[in-house]
Amino acid sequence: MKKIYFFDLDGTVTNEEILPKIAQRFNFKKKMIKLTRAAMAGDIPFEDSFRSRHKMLSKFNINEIKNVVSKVSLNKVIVKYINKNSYNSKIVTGNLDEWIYPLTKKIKCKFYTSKSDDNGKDLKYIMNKSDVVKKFKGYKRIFVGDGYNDVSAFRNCEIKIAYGGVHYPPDILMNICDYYVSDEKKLCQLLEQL
Amino acid sequence: MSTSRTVIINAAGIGSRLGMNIPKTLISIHGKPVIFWILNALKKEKNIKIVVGYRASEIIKFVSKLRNDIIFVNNKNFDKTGTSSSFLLACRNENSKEVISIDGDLIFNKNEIQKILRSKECCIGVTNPETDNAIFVKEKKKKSSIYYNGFTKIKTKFEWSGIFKINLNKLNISDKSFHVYEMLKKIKSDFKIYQINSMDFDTPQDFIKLKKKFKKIYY
Repeated sequence: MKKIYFFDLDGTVTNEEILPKIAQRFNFKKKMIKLTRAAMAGDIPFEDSFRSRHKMLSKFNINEIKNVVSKVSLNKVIVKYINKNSYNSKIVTGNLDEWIYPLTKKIKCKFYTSKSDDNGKDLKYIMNKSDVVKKFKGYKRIFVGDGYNDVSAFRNCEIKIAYGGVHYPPDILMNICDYYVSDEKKLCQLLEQL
Repeated sequence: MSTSRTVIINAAGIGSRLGMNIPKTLISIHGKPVIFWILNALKKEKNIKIVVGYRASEIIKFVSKLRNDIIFVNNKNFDKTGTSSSFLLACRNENSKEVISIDGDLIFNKNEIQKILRSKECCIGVTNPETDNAIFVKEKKKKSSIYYNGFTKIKTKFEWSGIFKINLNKLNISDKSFHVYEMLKKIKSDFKIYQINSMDFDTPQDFIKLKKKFKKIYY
């Protein structure tokens, strides 16, 4: 069975959450962190949280947002692994296509994202991660994630890895995962073995 | 990315016979949880997997304070399966040539364990008879060494410690045994016997004994 790797973006491939980083630039980091953490823990539905966060950010200049995103710290080991396996690696993120565009230049694989029009101002589609992984039925699907919005994808994948490199995943993810790792080198070693 | 050996620590079980509402590997002995003493003896090991199940996050959070380069394997059927399933679950997808199995409720001599880790042959660890309801090991002599010659419930001079080392390719990953010794019985291979001062605890009586003997066993 052919292997296919799916990676969550924020807190898995990036060393920091992207939306709070953008919010910091526009001086409302605290409010954004609160919304991001609540969504990650599953305290509020991801869609509601993302709509609120989109509303907060969409009024700002897209080039300034992209400029912040281009400086987001990436996990070099994981990015190197993805770039080496770009043909069977996919990023699956709730984050918005326009905002994270600069990262697609550094992480060389296919991205599945929330979608927008009008330079990110018009929110067209909010990612449901299970929709993506379901398309790859028949593959050995391996998902690496760290937040509540990875649960639906986990349930549709053959192998689920909870990653705790940036923060500890919520209980539900820990209960349904097959493996837990918090070290990026061990993660890549495990991905190679599976 | 092939690695030479991986140590697998089986720590998924409930430990119901002991009657304490905490995974046995987290029970404190001599001021630290059992898993602390196990990992302390395995400091130089580069590849360690810990199989967790019952109250997994508590074990993970404690271990993560000690080192972060461990792969945790989640045995979701921990309440229905035994140590053999946990061990084989961790062996699935493994690519080390050799795997070493250690139970998460075992206190063993931190120097003597190195003999098993470094052994070039498949081997098992035995200890002096100590615990309640133990499994014993029969021996056979070969050249100047002693080798495993079967498990028994009738007392011999060697109590089975639960520690063994085996080549991955000798394992039947789909074996359904409950206990590790039941799984090992079916494997046709010579196992060299190493004496490792060690003791696990299944009952409150065992635990009282172990607390008294800890220093003598570990150091």
